[in-house]
Amino acid sequence: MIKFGYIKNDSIFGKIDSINKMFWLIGIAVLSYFITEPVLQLILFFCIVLNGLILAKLPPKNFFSAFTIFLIFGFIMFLMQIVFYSGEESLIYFQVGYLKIGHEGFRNGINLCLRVFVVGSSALTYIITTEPRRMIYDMVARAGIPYRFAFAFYAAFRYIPIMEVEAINIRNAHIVRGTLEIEKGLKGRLRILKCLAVPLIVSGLRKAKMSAIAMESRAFGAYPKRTLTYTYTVPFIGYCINISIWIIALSYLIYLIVNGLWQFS
Amino acid sequence: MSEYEGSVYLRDFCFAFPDSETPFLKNIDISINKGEFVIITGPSSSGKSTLALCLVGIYPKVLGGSTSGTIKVGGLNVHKVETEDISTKAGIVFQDPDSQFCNLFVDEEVAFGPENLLVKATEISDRVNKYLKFVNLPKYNNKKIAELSGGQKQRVAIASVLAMEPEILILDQPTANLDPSGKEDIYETLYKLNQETGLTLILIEHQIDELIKYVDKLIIMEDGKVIESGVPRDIFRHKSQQLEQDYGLWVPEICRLSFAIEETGFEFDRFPITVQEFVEQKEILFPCLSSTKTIEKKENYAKKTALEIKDLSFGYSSQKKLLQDLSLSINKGSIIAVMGENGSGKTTLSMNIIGLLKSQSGTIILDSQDITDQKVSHRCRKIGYVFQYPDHQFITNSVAEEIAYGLKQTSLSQQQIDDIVKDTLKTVELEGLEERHPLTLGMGEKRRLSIATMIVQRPQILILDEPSAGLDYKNCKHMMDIILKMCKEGVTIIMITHTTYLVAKYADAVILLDKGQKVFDGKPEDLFNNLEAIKTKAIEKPEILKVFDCINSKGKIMDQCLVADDLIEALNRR
Amino acid sequence: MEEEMKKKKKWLSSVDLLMIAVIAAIGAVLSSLVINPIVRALNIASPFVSMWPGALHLFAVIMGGLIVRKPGATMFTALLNGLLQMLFGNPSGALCILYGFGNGLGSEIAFSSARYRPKVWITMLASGCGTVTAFFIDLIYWFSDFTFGFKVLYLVDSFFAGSIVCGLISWGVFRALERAGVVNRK
Ligand SMILES: Nc1ncnc2c1ncn2[C@@H]1O[C@H](COP(=O)(O)OP(=O)(O)OP(=O)(O)O)[C@@H](O)[C@H]1O
Ligand SMILES: Nc1ncnc2c1ncn2[C@@H]1O[C@H](COP(=O)(O)OP(=O)(O)OP(=O)(O)O)[C@@H](O)[C@H]1O
Ligand SMILES: [Mg+2]
Ligand SMILES: [Mg+2]
Repeated sequence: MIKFGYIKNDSIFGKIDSINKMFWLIGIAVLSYFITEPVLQLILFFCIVLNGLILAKLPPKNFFSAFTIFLIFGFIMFLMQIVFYSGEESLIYFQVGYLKIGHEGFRNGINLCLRVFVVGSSALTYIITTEPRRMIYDMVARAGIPYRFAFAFYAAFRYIPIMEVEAINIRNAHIVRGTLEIEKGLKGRLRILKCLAVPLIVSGLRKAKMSAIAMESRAFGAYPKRTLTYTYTVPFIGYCINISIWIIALSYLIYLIVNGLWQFS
Repeated sequence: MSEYEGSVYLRDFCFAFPDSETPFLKNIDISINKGEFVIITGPSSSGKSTLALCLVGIYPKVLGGSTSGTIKVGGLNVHKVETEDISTKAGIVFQDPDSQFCNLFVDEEVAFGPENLLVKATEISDRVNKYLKFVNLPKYNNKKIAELSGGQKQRVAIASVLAMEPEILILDQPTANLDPSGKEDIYETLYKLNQETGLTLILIEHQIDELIKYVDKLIIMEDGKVIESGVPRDIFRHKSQQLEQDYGLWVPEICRLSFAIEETGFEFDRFPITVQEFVEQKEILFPCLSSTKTIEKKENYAKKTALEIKDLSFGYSSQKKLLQDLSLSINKGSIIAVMGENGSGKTTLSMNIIGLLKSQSGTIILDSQDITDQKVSHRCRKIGYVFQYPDHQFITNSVAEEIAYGLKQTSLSQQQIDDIVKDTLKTVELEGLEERHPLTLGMGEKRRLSIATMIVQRPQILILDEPSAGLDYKNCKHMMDIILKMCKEGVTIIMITHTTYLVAKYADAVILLDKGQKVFDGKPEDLFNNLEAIKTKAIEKPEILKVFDCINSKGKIMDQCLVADDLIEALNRR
Repeated sequence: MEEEMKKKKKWLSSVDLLMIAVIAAIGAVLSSLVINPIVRALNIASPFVSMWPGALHLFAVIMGGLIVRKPGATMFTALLNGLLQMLFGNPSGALCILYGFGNGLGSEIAFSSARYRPKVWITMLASGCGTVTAFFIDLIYWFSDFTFGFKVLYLVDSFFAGSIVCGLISWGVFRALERAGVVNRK
């Protein structure tokens, strides 16, 4: 079900620690937010794609396979922007009663559609190049998150395939009981959903309790620190990529403010 | 009294669950020496798991509750020290490996304990290699846990506890879902550990036939109390019948047989508890056994075909077929056992029969009607299916509603439904529990309830996926009684199981699968007598049959039977 | 009994943490498999409609708060849920974490002001607040150029969507869990 998992990769971008990459990711989302110019947004998008294909050496098939989802999501954003845009329109293409489609709304729509692409593809780069166990390591060793919490995240990761199998089993069991025939209509549908969710959560909570016991019996949480068996080095370029995106974002913001182009709504 | 030097020492130990006034574990006295191999057994809900958790300090330190009395593990007073200190003395492994892992890779999992204890990184990697080798999984370091088989997962779980280098290893039903060869492997590994490293082993199990040869001490629990503790030979010599009938334990077959023989007036010098010991005394036993005559098992089913499968093929991916051109035919009113190693495709086959998986080719004929293209909802009016985990099948909030649920579709009146529910409750002996929430029932009760939900739909065929896993003898017998009753009424039973005893005692025919291929289809006697020729590791020979093999090795002396019950019956009838 | 034991005092125990992990995992699967496709389909009709099923994104967060009932549990579930959703390839990318933070903030405040008592109205309030704070992020990041009326309507709608859809459903599931004997309502 997890379509976009980590793919083993020894590119430069793959070597960067996940914390720097996370800041890079957030930096891109912020920069993309400042950009109102579709052309600039497009350039940003191209930079991310190039980064993904060259610096991160992502297999193009995996990289582009997610783009259909972005396209759908982006198109919805585009439609909403042209319909609901409230600013002044310099040129109106089309008007039916209250609904008007104008130049600014259109530009805004394109911009936001591209923003979906920017945000989505950068996240995709992150997902494909980051190994979950590296993430845990970085959270504990570099971000100073207490390991108990970092581990909860890792545990969640482990539970997902288990819960998936469990959900399929439960659904099968219900099919055999004939629920689909008995429960009809919206109320029935909701009941089916409840019948699915409750055993799933029950078995999930039982499993959680069981693993917690197993972990505690193996001295989990006994000391504030634990041994880290593997070590990673952070390449210098990691900091560069992280910091440069923030410098670009902030300087662009300053440029906007100085030129009076920035209005916070 | 001087300081006790042993591994585990409990005096007058009591334990009450949080929010409970009365103690659940009552006045437990146990002492276990270093290097002993101990089994704790007892009926369901007798407190075995609870005791194990007390030993490692989970109760009361992590999960709450209150205790009294003395409890010492590895020389530490469990009351006074923290769980992490106990964890270097005693480690615990649970039944379901999937829920006790919390890492993605094998090496991480094994390193997990030592990492928590701040062991140096270099030493950790040494330990990982050492213990993975010990459990026969070298070179598995970088494998994903999710991709291992059940037996391998169980081994990783053991290795990950061993990596903390405890003096005592506690295992709570570690082999419940494993096939006999996987079970045997684990037991042998454990025995090797016990012998080579002097590790104290405490094993919680229901069925102890294969284990009894290793054991130094047996502890039997019932209702939160230790009722017996000592050398297995003595316990079974004096209490076999009582343990089986009053407490519902799985008494090993040979012990039952030996006990029954002594009941007839015969006396052993040394009460045999293993096949080996039993046949050693065969010279003196002959006069006793040779005059018995076992009755032929009657075929109590009609020779009509209930289900026929022709050339069924199925694969989870289109490249590789799991089931290949499988054909079988099942007689009406018979009990069919489906056996095979873990991952041989038993569950897959049954899912194909009920239609939850769509077979890629082949036909399924039910009662001379082709149902290959029927939808699941149609098929399951005629085929009942009891899943391995009964929890999954429950939909409503009470036992009574649960049974009535399947009747909603039918045109029965409320009065009729109530009557049927009442009858069914009686059949499965769940009266008095009508208002309980299904998920709060015990395992045996859940299993019976899930069978009850299928009974009311009056299926022609009932499929049970590993119905005996984790059940004690009483509950298992209870369940089989219900099944036999259904059989008499003409229902055909297909039972997927790893339990040799069930097959030997109840099955009319066995289908053996190996990597999706049918390698045997016939009577259980024929299967068990020809295990060498079939070359399978998935099946253990029944203990009693091993006895007969020895007795009859120089020419046939007496008719064989597969389970102790039949032989005991013959003895008594004499 | 004589030797009454105190549980080891930790802000969130291992049991709590793993329960949160399971709930967040279930929630993330629910969001990316079931809710997102529905929301995306309804979005074409109107964001005011799609918001109603969309409020169910908060399901896991509310369940986390109801089951664990300790300060910060709701927030932690929400953040974990957000991170997982991002890793599943949600097109909102890094924003998922921000949404998670928003969800957590609103519900946590509501829950904590009622001292984590499991009551139906508190659940509804927490769901409403959590949804509003998350959808506030939507307004800033995606809909900043929309009319003021739209924005007010959007937030009001999201509050009701959250408290009715997510609040009532989470409460129903919580009650069912209680009857099944896995959680208790003290
Ligand atoms: N936290 C708890 N509070 C109250 N009762 C509990 C709690 N945990 C377990 N029990 C009850 O304690 C009893 C003993 O459970 P335990 O798991 O120790 O049995 P067991 O001997 O291991 O059984 P099985 O063979 O089925 O594993 C059960 O009846 C169970 O319902
Ligand atoms: N959903 C699935 N997708 C892909 N492969 C699967 C799936 N389910 C099972 N398999 C594979 O098919 C094979 C047979 O599985 P199956 O569950 O039928 O075995 P089984 O005989 O029931 O084993 P067990 O005794 O462990 O229950 C296994 O190798 C398993 O890994
Ligand atoms: Mg138990
Ligand atoms: Mg199976």
